[in-house]
Amino acid sequence: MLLYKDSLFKDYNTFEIITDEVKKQNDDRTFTGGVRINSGNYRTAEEDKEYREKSLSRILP
Amino acid sequence: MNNIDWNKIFSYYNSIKKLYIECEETDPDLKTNLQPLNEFRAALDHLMRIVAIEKIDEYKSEDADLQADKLLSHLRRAFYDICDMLSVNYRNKIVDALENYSSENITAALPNYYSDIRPDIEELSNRIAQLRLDKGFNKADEENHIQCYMEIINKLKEYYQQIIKVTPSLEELKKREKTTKRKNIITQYIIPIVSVVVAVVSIIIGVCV
Repeated sequence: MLLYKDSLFKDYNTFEIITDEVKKQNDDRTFTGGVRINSGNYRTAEEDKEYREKSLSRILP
Repeated sequence: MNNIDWNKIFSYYNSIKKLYIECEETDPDLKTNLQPLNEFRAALDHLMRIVAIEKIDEYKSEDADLQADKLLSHLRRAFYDICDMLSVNYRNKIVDALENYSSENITAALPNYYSDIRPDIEELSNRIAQLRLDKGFNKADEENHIQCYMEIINKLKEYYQQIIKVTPSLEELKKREKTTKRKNIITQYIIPIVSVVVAVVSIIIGVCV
C-alpha cells in the first residue's frame, strides 16, 4: 500500500471564488454524484451576494 | 487510546446533511450551495487522518483527538453556512407566500400574523445576526449556539408551514375582495353616471318635444 504521510496531514486549499469564468469552465467538466453541480445549478460568489442582499432587504408583508 | 465522541460527530453530520438537503429544496431556483462542500471535504480529510492513526502503524504517533476537534470544527462551519442560507430561503418563501394579499386578508386568514408571527420573524432575524457575531468567540457556548440556531430554523419552517396552510383561505378572500370591489364600482360610479345621463337625455327630449 502506498503511504503519503506528507499529503494526508496537509490541509486542502480552500475553494477559489466561483466567478462566471469558473462556471463557464465547469460547463465542460463532468461532476459525477452531483446533479446540481454537473448542470451548473449553483450561484457564483457575486450572484450569491446579490441573492442574500436582495432577500434580506425584502420587507415582510 | 483516544477520547473521540463518535456519537457527537455522527449526530452533527446527520443533522447537517438533513439541513443541507433542506437548503437545496427551499432555494427559489433549487440551486445548491457550494461553500459547505468545502467544509465537508476538509472534514472527510480529518476523518481519514483519524482512520490512518487508528489503523496504520506509521501514523500512530499523531493526535487523533486533535483531528476529531478539527473535524467537528469543519462540520460546525458547514452548519453555519447552511443555516445562514436556509434562514434566507425561508424568509423569502414567507414573503413570496404573502406579498400578493392585503393586510386585511392576511389578518382574516391568520389572525395572529401581525401580533405574533411577524414580530417573531423579525426578532429571529436579529437573533441570527447575534449568533453569527458571537460564533467562534466562546468555544464553551458553541453547543448552545448550534442548538439556538436549529431552533430558529425550525421556528421559521413552522411559520412558513402555517402560512402555506392558509393560502387557500387567502385566495378565497382575495376573490371575494375583487367581487366586492367590482360591485362597489358599479354602485358608486356606474349607476349614478348612468342615472345622470338618463336624466340629461330625458330633459333634452322633453325640451325638444
